[in-house]
Amino acid sequence: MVKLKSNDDKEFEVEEAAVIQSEMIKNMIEDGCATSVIPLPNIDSKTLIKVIEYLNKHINMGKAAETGEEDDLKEFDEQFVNMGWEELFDVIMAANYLNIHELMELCCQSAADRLKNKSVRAVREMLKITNDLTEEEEQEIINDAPWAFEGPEIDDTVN
Amino acid sequence: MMKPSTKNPTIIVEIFSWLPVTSLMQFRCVSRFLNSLVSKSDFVDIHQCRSMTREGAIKLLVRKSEGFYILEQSENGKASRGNFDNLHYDHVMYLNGRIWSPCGDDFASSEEELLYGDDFVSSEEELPCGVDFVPSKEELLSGDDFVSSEEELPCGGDFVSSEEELSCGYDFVSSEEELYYIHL
Repeated sequence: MVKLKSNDDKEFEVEEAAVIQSEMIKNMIEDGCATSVIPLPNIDSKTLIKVIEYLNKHINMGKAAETGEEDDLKEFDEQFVNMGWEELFDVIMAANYLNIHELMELCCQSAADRLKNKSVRAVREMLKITNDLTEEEEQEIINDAPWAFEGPEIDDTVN
Repeated sequence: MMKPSTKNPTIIVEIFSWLPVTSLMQFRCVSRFLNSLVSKSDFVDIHQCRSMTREGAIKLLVRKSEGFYILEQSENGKASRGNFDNLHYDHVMYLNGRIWSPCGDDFASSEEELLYGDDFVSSEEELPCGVDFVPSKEELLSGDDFVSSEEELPCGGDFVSSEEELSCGYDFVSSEEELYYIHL
């Protein structure tokens, strides 16, 4: 078992087989740096619980394929990303930090799906990006590919 | 705890690599960083791989020296290429996860035809890219639904939908430069 500690000082025990899906932790273990508790100063306990839930479920990816549990896993993934935007973003940041490739992909896909029909304004707000383009530059981009700006209803909400 | 921020461009890039082409082109307006991101060839490469692994209809963003192209695969596995500037479609082939633009004579002479669509999304893809698909093969397009989709061929007039006409349609070669072929 490997012990992980969140930034709000909560400890979690995770099976080594599960936790090494994180490239970062895997490297730490291989280098012998994971003797006691691994502190994760960037991850709060709420997010870490989600990440561990994912790791435990995905522990035996290969086995799942053999025993026909793939659908089960797919269903789990669908349910897993069913969370609030901020929460999802926290998991993405954690997956990026821990270097858990599959989780990163899953959550980024979900994030992209939520963003794809949003307005430019909504995207800026959701990603906390400040617009640094001038009005002329913006217009130039629109003129460049006007078809991208026509199209179906654009969603201006930010969740 | 951690809030979304452009301070971590890795994450923004990762998320954006999963977006459909139309959204990408639109979100260039979000900021200077995103505007330049979409034009970067390494981003386009990542986006291409991602799009191929997703289920359902996909579109790819392909960057060529003279501009962007869209490669589109419909749910039935047919594929085509779209040009942003004048909205035309070419057939495309995909091979082993890479896009090929062989442009051999065989290719050009047998399978090329351009389609002009008013609308990217609605234009139908026509190339039945089965595993057996060989560039120089005779029956490439099974007439009926092809004809019904987009009629306007650049080489105009004589276009008939029969397989023969298409397969040996030298007339149709419209001197298009690079073709992308998709093998699915």
